[in-house]
Amino acid sequence: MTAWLDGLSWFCLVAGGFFCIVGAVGLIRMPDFYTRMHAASLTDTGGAALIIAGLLLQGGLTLAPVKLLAIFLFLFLTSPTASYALANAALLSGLKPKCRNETGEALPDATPPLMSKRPPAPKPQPDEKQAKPAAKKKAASKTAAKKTPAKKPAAKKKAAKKS
Amino acid sequence: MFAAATLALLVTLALTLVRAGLGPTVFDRAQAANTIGTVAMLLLAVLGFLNGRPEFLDLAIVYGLLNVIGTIAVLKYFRRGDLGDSGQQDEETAS
Repeated sequence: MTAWLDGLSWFCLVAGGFFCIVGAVGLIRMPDFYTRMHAASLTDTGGAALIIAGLLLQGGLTLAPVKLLAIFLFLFLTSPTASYALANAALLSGLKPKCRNETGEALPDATPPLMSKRPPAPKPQPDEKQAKPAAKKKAASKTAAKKTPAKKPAAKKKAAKKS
Repeated sequence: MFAAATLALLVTLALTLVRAGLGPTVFDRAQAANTIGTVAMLLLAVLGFLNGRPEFLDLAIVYGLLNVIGTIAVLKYFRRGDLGDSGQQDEETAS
C-alpha cells in the first residue's frame, strides 16, 4: 500500500515538474503577451495542483496536509484573479493582440483586433470569372423556386429579365 | 523524488527569469514576477518536505499572500500612476 502511494506521489511530482517546465518554455517561446499569459497559467494551475497532490500523497506530519490544501485553495482562487488583472491592465493600456506577421499579412485563424473595426481579410476564390455567372443563374432559379405562389409572377419576370 | 521536483522548479525559475529580463512590454515582466512568486511557493513546500520541516508551509502561505497583493498593487501603479490617495491635506482644508 505504501509502495503504491509512494509510486503515485512520485508520478504526480514528476508530472507537476513537467507542467511547470512546459509553462516556462511557453513563456519564452510564445510570440505575444496574451499567449504567454496563457502558457504561464499552465504553470500556475496544472503544475501547482500536481505538485501539491504529490506532496499530499506523501502523508505528512500532523498539520501538513491541511496547510497544503490551504495553499492549493489560495492558489486556485488568486492566480486566475491575478491573470485577469494582468490581461485587463494590458488591454486597457492599449496593448493589442498580435494578429499580423512582420510582413503585414494576417496570421491564419486570427480574429480582427479588438479595438479596431477593420473587416476580416477576404477569402481567396479560385476561378472567379467562370464560377460567378453560373452561380448567379443557380441562385436566381433557386430563389424563384422557393418563393410563394403569390410572388411567382414577379420572380418569373425577374428571372426573364436576367437571362 | 523531491530532488527531481526541486530541479524542475529551479529550471522553471531560471526560464521565467529570462522572460523577466527579455520581455518587451512591462506587463511581460509583471507576469513573470507573478509566476516566479507561484513557483517560489511550490519550491518552499517541496523543500519543506525535503528537509522534514513543516514550518516552510507557513512561509509558502505568507508568500502567496504577498505575491498576489504585490502583483495587483504593481498593476494599479501602472494604471493610475500612484498607489492610492494623495493629497489628504487638501481634502481637510477644503472641508
